[in-house]
Amino acid sequence: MAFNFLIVDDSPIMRKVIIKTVRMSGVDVGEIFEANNGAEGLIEARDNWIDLILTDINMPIMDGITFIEHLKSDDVLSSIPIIVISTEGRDDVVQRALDIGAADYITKPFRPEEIGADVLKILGYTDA
Amino acid sequence: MYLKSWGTQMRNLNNKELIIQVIDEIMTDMFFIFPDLDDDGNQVTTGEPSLQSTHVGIHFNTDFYLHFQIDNQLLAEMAANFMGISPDELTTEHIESMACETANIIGGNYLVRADPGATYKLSIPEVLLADSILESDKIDEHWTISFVANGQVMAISPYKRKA
Repeated sequence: MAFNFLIVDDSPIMRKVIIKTVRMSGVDVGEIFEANNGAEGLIEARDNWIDLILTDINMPIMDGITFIEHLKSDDVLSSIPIIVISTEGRDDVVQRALDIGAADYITKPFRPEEIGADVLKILGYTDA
Repeated sequence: MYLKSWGTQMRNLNNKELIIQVIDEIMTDMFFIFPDLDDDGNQVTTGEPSLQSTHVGIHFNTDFYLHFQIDNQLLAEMAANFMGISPDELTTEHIESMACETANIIGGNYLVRADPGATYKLSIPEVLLADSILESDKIDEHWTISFVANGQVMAISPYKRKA
């Protein structure tokens, strides 16, 4: 079974690195969709079947926290697991993201292996 | 009045040693670029960015912004290492995106350590035109950091907020 991903980050270079990391993780990758911010991410999530979302927090137009809130209040989209990858590493922000439904939170700078391990875990490839 | 206000706000954030430590960690761990520091973490060399460099600003609330000026060759090496591609494949968009992401990661990590009370919130980093940066807006000459890695320079200075 191939999994579809949605990468939400206003940095094109960060999206490319995350995409590369996902492809190298060992997961069977289907389609990877990209969005510049939360508002675009919502459109992509509604228009496509998504198995896992990786999102930044600090983005223009709609930030990651608001994006997660919208997803979790939507009957159809609320079950999509979300990994946050952000520079914003303060405890209150991290806790806020987890409280509203993020499955995990990775702070930048990250090692690609961290993202790969998280993707594998959340999609059920590993037990850890 | 503005400078007096800045001085009060800056007190908690005025920590060159800490920001050098943050830059060192990020450059080494994330971009595989090794800065010119001695065993004690002190700078070995300093310099000025070349004309072929990219300017980025990242605001701390609306009070002030950190201006990053980074040699394009250094950005290219960082982006190539980060993305695992040849520098020849990089575009201007990659270079500017790398500059913004560098400011974002350094600013964010510095703030977590220097401002645990969460007084400040970072803006979205933006590429600046060189002629929009006024030397008269520079707030504290002594806080300017010139960071050298692989013979290339990243300079960081605090400036009054842009209108």
